[in-house]
Amino acid sequence: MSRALFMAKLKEGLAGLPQPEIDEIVSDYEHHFAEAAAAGQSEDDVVARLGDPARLAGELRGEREQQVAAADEPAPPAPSSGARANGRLGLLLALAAVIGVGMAAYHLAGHDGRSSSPALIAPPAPPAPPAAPPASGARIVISGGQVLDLGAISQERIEILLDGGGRATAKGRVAELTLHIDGSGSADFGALQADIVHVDVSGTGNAEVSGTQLVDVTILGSGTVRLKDRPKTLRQSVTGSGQVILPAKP
Amino acid sequence: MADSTHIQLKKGILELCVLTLLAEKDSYGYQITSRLSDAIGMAEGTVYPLLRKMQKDELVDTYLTDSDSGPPRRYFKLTKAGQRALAAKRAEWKAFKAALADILGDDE
Repeated sequence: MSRALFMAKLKEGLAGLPQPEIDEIVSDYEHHFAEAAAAGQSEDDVVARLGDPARLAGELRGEREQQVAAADEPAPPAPSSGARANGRLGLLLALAAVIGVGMAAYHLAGHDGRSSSPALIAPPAPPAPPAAPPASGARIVISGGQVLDLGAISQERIEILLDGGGRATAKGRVAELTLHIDGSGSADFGALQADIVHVDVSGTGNAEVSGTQLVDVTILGSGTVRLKDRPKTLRQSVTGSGQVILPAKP
Repeated sequence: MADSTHIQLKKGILELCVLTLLAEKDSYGYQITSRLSDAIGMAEGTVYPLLRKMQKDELVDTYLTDSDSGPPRRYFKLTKAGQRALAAKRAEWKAFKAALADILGDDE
């Protein structure tokens, strides 16, 4: 892959983030290419060492979404509390999760003294035009182990941030569902029919979703995302022991 | 499974490594990635998302300096919170190593 293609794929993956942030990220990687070239590395070599740009963009987005979620909530519990260490491997995984994810919680905790915050339910926004970014729909934050039944939903877009062991269920229909799960949250959205679903899970959370056109899953850690339907397009990026479970073929 | 365990471990350790490198001296992205990827074989690109996360967590600060060749470099330096995080992570890492030694045996 060439430098130009790497940068194009990176930008494509970052689309929707605020422009200044995209510019900064792009500049970081442009600098990297410039420094590597000055050090005599070939373009192909640099690209190979950087890794998959789509996955990097996913990480950069995921990191930002966690920050957004963190602004409104107590730190998620360390995943080890939920992990049933099962023999040596289980314990090893639990420890790996503590180091990988628990430390993130540790840092977040250092910034946020608030011990609990209520579920914030944003008023539903008017139907967004198709070209609008996903954030323009209703946005719901569920944190601190709360359980929320969203009931029947019917709207264009909905974005849900689920944190610290919270649980959510919903049914109905949306065009686009965006779901972030941080910590050990659980989301049962199998009865919420969506055309497009974006799910990211960091930690040990799990989700059931139903998307017919496009389902885009990012898992960091040991989360599970179960699909009720087979979408036309499935994109998945799993880092850790997490898994995406598809329905059995008819 | 073994592979994903490996990745998880590396991700956690990566932040500890970056904190440690920056505690030695301020550094810029390319320098950090080069040192780390040689040592622990991570995809170099993953260091940048991590640096951004650390900046937002206020563990590191950045400043620009002119470089001899090309555009100015963005240097990263540890903040006070970064130094505390480093101390805490080192302690956690030691505890983790001890727990592993218990499981795997001391010869590991």
